[in-house]
Amino acid sequence: MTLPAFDHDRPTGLAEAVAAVRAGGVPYCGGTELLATMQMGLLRPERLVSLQRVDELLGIDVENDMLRIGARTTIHAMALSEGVRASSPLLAHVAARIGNIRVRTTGTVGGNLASSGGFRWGPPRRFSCLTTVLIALEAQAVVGDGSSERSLTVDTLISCPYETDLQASELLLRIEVPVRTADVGVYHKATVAERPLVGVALVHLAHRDVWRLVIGAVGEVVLVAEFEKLADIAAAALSGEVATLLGLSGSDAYKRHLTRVTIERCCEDAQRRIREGQ
Amino acid sequence: MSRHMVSTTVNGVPVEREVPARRLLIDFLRDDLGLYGTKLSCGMQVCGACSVLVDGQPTSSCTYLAVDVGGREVTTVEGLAHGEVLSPVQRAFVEETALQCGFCTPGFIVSVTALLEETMDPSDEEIRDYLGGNLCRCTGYGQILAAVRTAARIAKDERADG
Amino acid sequence: MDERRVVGRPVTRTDAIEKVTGRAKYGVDLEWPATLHGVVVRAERAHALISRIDTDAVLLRRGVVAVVTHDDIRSLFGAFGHHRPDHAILAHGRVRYWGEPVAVVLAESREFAEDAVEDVIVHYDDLQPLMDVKSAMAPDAPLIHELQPETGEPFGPCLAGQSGTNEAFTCSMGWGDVDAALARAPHTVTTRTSYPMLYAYAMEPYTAQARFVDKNLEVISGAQHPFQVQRDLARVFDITLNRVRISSPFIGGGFGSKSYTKIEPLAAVCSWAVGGRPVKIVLDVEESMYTTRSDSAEVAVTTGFDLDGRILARDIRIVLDTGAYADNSPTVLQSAVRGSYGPYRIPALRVSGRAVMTTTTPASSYRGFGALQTGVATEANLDRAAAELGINIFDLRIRNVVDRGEEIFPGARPMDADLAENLRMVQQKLTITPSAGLLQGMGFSLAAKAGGANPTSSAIVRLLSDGSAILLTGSAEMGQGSRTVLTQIVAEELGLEMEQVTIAQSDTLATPFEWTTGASRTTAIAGLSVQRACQDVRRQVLELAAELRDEDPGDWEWADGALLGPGLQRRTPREVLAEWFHGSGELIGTGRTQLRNDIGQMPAFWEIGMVGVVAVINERTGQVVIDQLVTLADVGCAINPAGLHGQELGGAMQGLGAALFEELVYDGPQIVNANIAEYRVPRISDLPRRVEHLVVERGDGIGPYGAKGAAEGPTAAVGAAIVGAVSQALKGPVDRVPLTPERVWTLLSTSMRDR
Repeated sequence: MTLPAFDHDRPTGLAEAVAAVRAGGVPYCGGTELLATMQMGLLRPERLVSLQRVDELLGIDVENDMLRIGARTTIHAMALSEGVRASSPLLAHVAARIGNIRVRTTGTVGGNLASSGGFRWGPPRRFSCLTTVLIALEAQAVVGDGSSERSLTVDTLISCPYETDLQASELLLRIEVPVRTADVGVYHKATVAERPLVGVALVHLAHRDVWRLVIGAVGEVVLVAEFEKLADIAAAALSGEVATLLGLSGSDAYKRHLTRVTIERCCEDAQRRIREGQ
Repeated sequence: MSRHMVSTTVNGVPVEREVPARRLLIDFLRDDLGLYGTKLSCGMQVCGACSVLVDGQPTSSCTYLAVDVGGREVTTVEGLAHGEVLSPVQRAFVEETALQCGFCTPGFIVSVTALLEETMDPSDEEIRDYLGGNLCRCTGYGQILAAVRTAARIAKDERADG
Repeated sequence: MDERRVVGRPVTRTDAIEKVTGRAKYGVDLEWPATLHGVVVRAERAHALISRIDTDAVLLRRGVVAVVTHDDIRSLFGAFGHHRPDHAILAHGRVRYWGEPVAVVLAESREFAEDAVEDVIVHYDDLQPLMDVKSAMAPDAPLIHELQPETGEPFGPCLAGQSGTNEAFTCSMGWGDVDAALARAPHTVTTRTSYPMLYAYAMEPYTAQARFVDKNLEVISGAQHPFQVQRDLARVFDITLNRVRISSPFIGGGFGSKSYTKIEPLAAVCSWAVGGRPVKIVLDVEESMYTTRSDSAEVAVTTGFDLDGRILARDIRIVLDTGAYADNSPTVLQSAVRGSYGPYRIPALRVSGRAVMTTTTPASSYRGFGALQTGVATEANLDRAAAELGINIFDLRIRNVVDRGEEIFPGARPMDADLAENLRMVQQKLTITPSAGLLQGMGFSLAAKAGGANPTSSAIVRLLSDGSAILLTGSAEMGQGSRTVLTQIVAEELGLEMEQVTIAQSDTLATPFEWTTGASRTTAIAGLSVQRACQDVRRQVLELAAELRDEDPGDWEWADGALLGPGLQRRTPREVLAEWFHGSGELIGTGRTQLRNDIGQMPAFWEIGMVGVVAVINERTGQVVIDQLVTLADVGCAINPAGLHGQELGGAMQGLGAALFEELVYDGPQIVNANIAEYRVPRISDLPRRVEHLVVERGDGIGPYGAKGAAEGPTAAVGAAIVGAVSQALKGPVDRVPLTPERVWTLLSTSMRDR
């Protein structure tokens, strides 16, 4: 399975990486998504930029009730990180269940988001478990070119890449997840073959006292809705709202059905958690 | 189409080779270094036959660039035994007859090695979860599951023996 | 029974160390010096005439040496096929399925060949694609093969189908007045099911390399049946068999998908086209899916019963979609017909089978074929009857199974197993723990497969001067453990340790003829020829020992690897050889089996598939989980028990995949799930929590120590058991597999509505 030929840069710092990307290189880190897309013949870049030696993109830390995870962090490292487990158990839980072990040890947070949203290199695949849960957690994506940086919500970055005015030189540096220990969060997904057919995150945001529900994977657009009460979540109605992607994994009716079941599971799980918490 | 010098360590041995940027790690190992133990099957990170360790982490070498192992340590199935002394995982696979055609076996051995590095005494649930990305078409997995338990026991005994 | 030292004991697989260290070499790991790499240009039409192939641009690409098309091999016999040589090596003016090889680009490296392949432009004139049986049998359908045998002419073990149609071949059997018996029967049940196209997913995709050395052809491939490939290739080049060498190193899984000829001719004609230079072709999974698949089947069964559940008559109709070329499908159809009705006593039977060609991937062998495709219909039919007559599924079968010694069809080997007793053993192991809100069902299935194929086998055992031995056998090692089992037999027979026996396998130059490695034959058939070769060696050593002492060979006997003679003489083979040959020499023993004398009847043995399962259905998602799996292997003698367990579970899990997940999906002209992410095979997480393998050893097989074959039975039987369990849970019929979550959800919704 030979890849088409390309040039390659392996910068050792952010400034170098930004320069390489500005020159037209396509950034990647593990390659689990980008190289796979290339192997399928869906993308044929002339130059790749490996971010594997850009240490500015590494690191997990918690400060001022904010969990910061560098874009180069692997999914596996995130799942095992004590910091992530303590400050956002839901995120750690979801990370531990993405793909298979090799996808988790090689794939990174940045690559996962990039492949979900298609903001860096397309075509967008679908809303990954990680993006779905990050949107539910009201996470921010910090992008920058080494001299300046700015924050976007993950939702904006992934869902509306054309509105973000993302510059070619701006790399995803890290994600920032508010640490809110009073929140209750659950995630469920339904998988028939290799990739999840639907993923649903449900988080009670204590500071606003709302239930934030995010439905990913099943449609081209992520569905975000907020409810005052858990009982207000109408799984059947919501599953009617998703525009399912065509594909082999199931008919529209079945995908809607699984969406409904997965929402219901989240609600039941959340209910149980609240009961147990009391 | 750039060519790059890759300086890496494979099975503990420093290696330097010039490769084109697009050379996949699996082709680098097999064709450039003659390490044929790593196998290509599905070619899309699903089956695990091409698993190797990069800095100790299981990696699909079919979807990984050789240039990206520069400065890192790669371990293939050939690097697990010490001379003729098999690793605990290898011994367990032999003991439990946890292989048939053997084409998936190097990938399983590499993955189980990484699993036991991370979790000394995994539960059946953890084994099933961790090995979900390694396919075997011959054994039906029963003897593989037994081999993982046996490997954990052998490794524990060896640690106890010093 | 003699005390056995090696047979039936736990032994280490003789290939285990090589395989866990990565040292084991498969075809894909081998390469001759100066090898050219071939990448196949494949048809991007299901059915079309080739008007032109542009190759000029590709020849200018870096590293490209040649492009081979049918035009380059016109002087050769450009087709293969053991039943009928209709399978074009390179498309000859016409493509008959998407993915058919049209040309091969040969380059100095695989990278160069892959880069260049896009520059081969094939121009087509479209023909009407015939993607399923219905369109292929429409009155105005074009013929996929213009050259057809006359209706009813022999076509392998079948008869040629209706001339002028795409019906390729037919096969039927039966006895008694079925219509009358069905009309009179107090209870009849009709079942119809669809069985999907499957891909074996042997984890090593197809690979073959070929070269000519002094006008002799050498091929290394993953062929299960090198001697069958040899015959096809000798015809291609019009050379004698001695000049064609096919060898199979370790094979990365076969399951029937590497039986007979596959891509070996492609590599061979490419090598021929470049003056004999080595050419290596390695396919990926997608290409492998377009190389062969299993026959899909539509099966309709009507069975008449008396009110006690005894079968009065069965009427079975089978239609196979056999794809673009015949390959082994005539044998598949015959097996489907003979394997469809089960090892039951049936007063009146009519089975009619037909195989229809379509413009899809050619179908051929797949583990358990025959009963595999038909059992989900015919066994489900018995389950329905059991439910409707209020008889338990086990009792209904016990009332109908044949006894030991009874024939399943006239002229066949009588049943060589105690089915009722076996069945009770499985029944006793199966348990459902009732649990509120859990939708569960129990299923059981029985299949009888004709084992052994044509039982022609030969073996050579060389007893070396130091008493150790070398076994030469044509049978292949594809994971099933033949290397270990055959070594055990030699060690047992010659009183040696396993380490004192070396084996050379599956090389037409070095090893003797073996019909095939398939049909669960190796332990029983190849094992028997190996045992006979050992006995021949023993006879010779005894003769030499006696002659050296001027005694009667009858006074000498073999005991525990030594020779005992008159007057308490005890000599080792080594001493005898040293004395006889004045130093060193060796004895060569040969063994042979064939369809004569003691294996004078087909099949050589009955392979019984007997599987019970408990299935749990998730009512919300439709997902089916197999909670308990019980298999029974009636093997006569388990020579390598650990190997047998692995084969049984592996076989069952493969059939479980077909029952729950696996299906090649055509949507339009091509397969839309030609990859392992979307063609979902069983994973470790699908392994049932409760697994039991029962092994029955009654020493009643024709093989060594009374052995019979195993490990296709569970593949063939498990699907019907799962279907039975799911229909029991859903209280309704299941009409197709795989039982994907969506299909079960649909069935659930229907059964809810109906309630």
